[in-house]
Amino acid sequence: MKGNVRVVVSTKKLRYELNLRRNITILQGDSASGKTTLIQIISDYQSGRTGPGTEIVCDRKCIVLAGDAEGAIMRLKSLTEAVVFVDEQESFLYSKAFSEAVLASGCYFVFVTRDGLNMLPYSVNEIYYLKNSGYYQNTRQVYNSMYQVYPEAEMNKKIEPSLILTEDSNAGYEMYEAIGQDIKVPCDSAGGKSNIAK
Amino acid sequence: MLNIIFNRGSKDIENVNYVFSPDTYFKYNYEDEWFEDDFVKMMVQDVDGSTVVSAHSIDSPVLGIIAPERLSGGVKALIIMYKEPDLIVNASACGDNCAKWILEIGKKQDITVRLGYEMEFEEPFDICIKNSGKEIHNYEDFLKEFQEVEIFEG
Repeated sequence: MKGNVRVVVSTKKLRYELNLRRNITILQGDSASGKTTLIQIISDYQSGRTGPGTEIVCDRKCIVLAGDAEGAIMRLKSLTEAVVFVDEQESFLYSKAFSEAVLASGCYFVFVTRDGLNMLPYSVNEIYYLKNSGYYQNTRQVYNSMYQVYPEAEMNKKIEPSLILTEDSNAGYEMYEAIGQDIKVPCDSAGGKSNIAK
Repeated sequence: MLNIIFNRGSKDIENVNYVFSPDTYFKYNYEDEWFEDDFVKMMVQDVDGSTVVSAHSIDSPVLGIIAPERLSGGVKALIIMYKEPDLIVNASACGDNCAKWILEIGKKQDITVRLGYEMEFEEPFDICIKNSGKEIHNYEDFLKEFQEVEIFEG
């Protein structure tokens, strides 16, 4: 996987535009912002149920994984370079077996979930919410696009640490110690996750 | 009182009354008369911006006239919390725009929900965190409790 992937999903009433910058993108945000509807449209489209008026524009195949864990993982293993969408109500999304299959895959992923996925590495910059921006151009389509939950430009100003505490004592600690020296903030290692609260 | 079980997504709550997917539970179990309740109508209006016309017809500003099954996952979770308080509903299906309604339901009756993220509850509130047994009333304590679960149980 390399580069940005643009996904445009449209029906007569809705239009979604997503720009995926990394292999894992998280969609979260308020209820009723259209996340599950997006997944349903993609699923219906790929199943050939939508008929004319519904369109997905993307240079990769867009797939929704759903159902039982075993079936979802088997299907994922058969996919190459697809864009894979998974909704929060799929319990396999939080499983170790699925995380391992994601890590071994060359696909792009869009996960709709508010809970953290601790077994997967993804960037804080790739956590988005969907926002309805009114009607698309001169159509009757309600236009939805992605906005960062933690905007890159604003977060630097908001985070002013007095101490940096790292969980580990090796590479992560060394990196933050070097950063801490640059910004004149002391850095210490907790020497393990369970020591952080002490 | 609102009771919250903090829980990470990878772990299941071992309780026969736990509803992991409120969306699916709602689809097979909702009752028509739920939509005659003014409190339900208010939640649907506020969260989804939709008007309950009848038990079979919801007027959505985006989707037009829809069936109750097409309400948002968040409002479905709220309705289950309110109408079936013995169930433990997965409140991660709810966005921050549902927080005030979860607090309201907790004022009306005892409910227990499962939560896997730092939902933004507006102070002041009365919440019992089941993991520690502590009763909390401000968001700073809420975040501390959440972090402790993250660190020790996560």
